[in-house]
Amino acid sequence: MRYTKLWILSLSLFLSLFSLSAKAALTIEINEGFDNALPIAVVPFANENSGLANVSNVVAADLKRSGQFKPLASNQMPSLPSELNQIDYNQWRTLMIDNMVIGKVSQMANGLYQVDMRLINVLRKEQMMGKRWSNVPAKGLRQVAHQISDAVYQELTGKRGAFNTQIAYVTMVKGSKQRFYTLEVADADGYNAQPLLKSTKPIMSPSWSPDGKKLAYVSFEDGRSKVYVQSLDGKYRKMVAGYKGINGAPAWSPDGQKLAVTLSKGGNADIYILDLNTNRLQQITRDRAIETEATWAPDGQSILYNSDRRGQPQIFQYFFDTRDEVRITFEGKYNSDPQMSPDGRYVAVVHGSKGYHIGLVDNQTKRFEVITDTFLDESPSFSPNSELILYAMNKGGRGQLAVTTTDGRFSQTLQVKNAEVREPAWGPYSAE
Amino acid sequence: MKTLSKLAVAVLAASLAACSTPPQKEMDAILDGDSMQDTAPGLDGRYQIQQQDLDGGATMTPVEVYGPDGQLLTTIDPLDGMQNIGDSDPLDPRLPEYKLLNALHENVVYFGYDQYSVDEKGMEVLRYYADVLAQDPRRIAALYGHTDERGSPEYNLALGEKRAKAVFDALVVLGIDPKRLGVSSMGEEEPAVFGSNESVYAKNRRVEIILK
Repeated sequence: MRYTKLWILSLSLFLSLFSLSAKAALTIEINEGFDNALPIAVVPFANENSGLANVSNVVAADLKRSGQFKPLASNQMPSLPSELNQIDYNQWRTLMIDNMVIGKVSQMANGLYQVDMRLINVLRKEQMMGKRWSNVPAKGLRQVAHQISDAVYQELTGKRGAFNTQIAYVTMVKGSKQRFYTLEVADADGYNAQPLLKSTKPIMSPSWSPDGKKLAYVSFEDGRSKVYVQSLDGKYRKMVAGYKGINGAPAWSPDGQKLAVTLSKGGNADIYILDLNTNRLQQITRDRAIETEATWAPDGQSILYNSDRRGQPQIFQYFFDTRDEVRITFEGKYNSDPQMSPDGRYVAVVHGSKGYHIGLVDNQTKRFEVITDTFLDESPSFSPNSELILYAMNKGGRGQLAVTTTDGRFSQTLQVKNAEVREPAWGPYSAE
Repeated sequence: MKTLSKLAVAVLAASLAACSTPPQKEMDAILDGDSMQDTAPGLDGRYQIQQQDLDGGATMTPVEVYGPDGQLLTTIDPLDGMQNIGDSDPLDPRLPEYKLLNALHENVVYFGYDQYSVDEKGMEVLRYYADVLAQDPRRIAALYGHTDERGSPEYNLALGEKRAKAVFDALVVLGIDPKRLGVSSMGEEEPAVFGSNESVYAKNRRVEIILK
């Protein structure tokens, strides 16, 4: 028990300014198992019921969704320990469980909650980690659970977890006379969906500011595409590009000071960089072909974009310092909508050959691989830890979202009841 | 102004019926104002103008303003304050659509996959509409490019514009003043037909010519 240490953490509460009740939550469906996933037992926490968010369930679901863990079902557990001295290590060793998470939820005198968790190495019979969250309101318990998942993931894989993050997406409901579009933000597991904007005209292409506090997006609310920036708390909203022609494809620079956008005010779709402080525009491409869907390399030194200057959409990279343009994709006749992983290793694209799927260019090996096999796959977006890709696809005639590991071996779908879902964008790590 | 009054219905509908009651202040602004300025499309809880189903050349129906509970609050002539429709921006969403009675051609030009050139069948349609525009100099036209649902939405937005531009160029070659034409793209966002097969896709790869 040398490592027994309780870290006291205080939860900084994310105060939602939306009074609107949450929309129908995204429901998640796991599609494939992961053969070499690590077995783990997330034991139901003591006192976690009574109508509150079930912390251990959220943690187990998070770990399973990563594709790297295989949580033991709670009905197969030989006992339900919540303290170190309650663990019979041999019981768990015979089940081939090397790691387990135990904990408890308790109500404090002030009515708020305290959550304790411990990560146990069963083989060495010792605690690897212990943490405590105090003064947690009931609605903050899911967030604590995601932080527990992050901590466990980091300890066991050595990689940062992205469970306590958010996603943005657009839902569309067909009415009899018109359509209803909603830009929503939800937790990465689909819970706590909040509407940011509702319109009867299309909404497209949400892009997160690097601090996670604003979204840039395209709205057709006054008849044609214009680019807007809106804060998540709804207090700030501004049209930043409403030039003649199309205004689209906003992409926030890593330093948060600029937006790459597509404008056709010069006669056809070209990439521009809009300085958000001065409103000054810098034109990057001047080709007569379509150039759009710019995205920034994580170091901010280059952008990638789609150009059909060779007669079909392909991905190019433009370096700001040398002004060099390099073609990135060569496989097939249709590669569009590039996204570079935050670690810089991969470029995800929409690849059209037999159908439309998500393809990955590996910048290390220079290999290209198609990693999805669903229908009409588009809009890839990396998790902030570069481990997963969120994308839009069509299943049963309906737009849905899916998440896949970068090797394509594990995937899950997220759907909204009675609505089409599309245009997903995975948000950054929340500033702690 | 007489012909203008033949323009069809534009209805000011409370946007997003499911939304909350609009603040009283904004409702007052709409009721007090004669011009359309106060009724520009807005965000949730405000009002939006909708072009409704049109019967071509029918008599003019004024804009109707409904309260959140569906009760008719007031009616406004949508063309009050507008000097001459021919001087307006063809893309102005407040302008009502004008539909031809017994038109010889559907107001749509179709395109091939990932293509933005007008074929001979499309040119036939455009010669007809160029003639319509030539015969009635007050008319203006908005050209909306569309794509099928496949591929990435932003590329499709740009592709739809290329198609609308191709139609624009053809109409200009046919003698129409560029000022009377507006080019816009809806990308893949507003399919004419829903579904996921080639015959559906072919109907969605199009430019619609909206006369106003």
